[in-house]
Amino acid sequence: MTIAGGVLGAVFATAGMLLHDAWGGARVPLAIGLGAVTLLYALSEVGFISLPVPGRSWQVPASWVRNGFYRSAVIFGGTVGLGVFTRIPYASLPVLLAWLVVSGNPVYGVAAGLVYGGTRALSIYSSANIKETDQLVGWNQRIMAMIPAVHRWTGFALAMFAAYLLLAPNV
Amino acid sequence: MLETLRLQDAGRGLVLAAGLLLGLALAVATAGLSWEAGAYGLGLGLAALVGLAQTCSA
Repeated sequence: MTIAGGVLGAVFATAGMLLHDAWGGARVPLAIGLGAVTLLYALSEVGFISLPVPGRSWQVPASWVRNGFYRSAVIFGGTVGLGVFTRIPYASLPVLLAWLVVSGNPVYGVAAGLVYGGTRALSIYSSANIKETDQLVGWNQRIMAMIPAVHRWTGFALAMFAAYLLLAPNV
Repeated sequence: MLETLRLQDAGRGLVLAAGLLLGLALAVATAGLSWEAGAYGLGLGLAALVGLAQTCSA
């Protein structure tokens, strides 16, 4: 899952690099445009407006995790870790991917992707030592109880990123 | 009920305003430096939060 995040970051940042090579000089206007879109998604994330988040409602089939431990981990983790093939509940992922395109820096894309993939897999890493099913269910419920707070933090982070992108390239 | 909704609106507005103000403050504080460096840092923080958000929803 973590490695898939790195791959995702590399793909989007490389696509951005190729776009910048083809057109050139568009980084600042693209960053400002992304800042405006990010501001709208910040308003949506905290609940003032309602904007659709691009994504799919597809879920990884249960049969994909019945092929042995390591094979299933690679298939499931790789697909879910990429993030773009399954449901996207937060606008922050499309904003991050758009930023990687604007940055056009593949090394940075890999770094940001690994950070995303690493935290994306935190629920798995943190439950590595849990053996009992009841404990695992309880742990997942505690993690899911954080969702409202995470929406607020996401809104806060998107607002901060939006303000920076709208102002910083001009000062 | 109405009072609760107002308090929720105020809380959400506060979250949004705090984020906007911090972003503006960072832009002003780093004026003259490469804007991309600050955006790279914020982007890494956003990447961590994106992953955390997704892991809570899984």
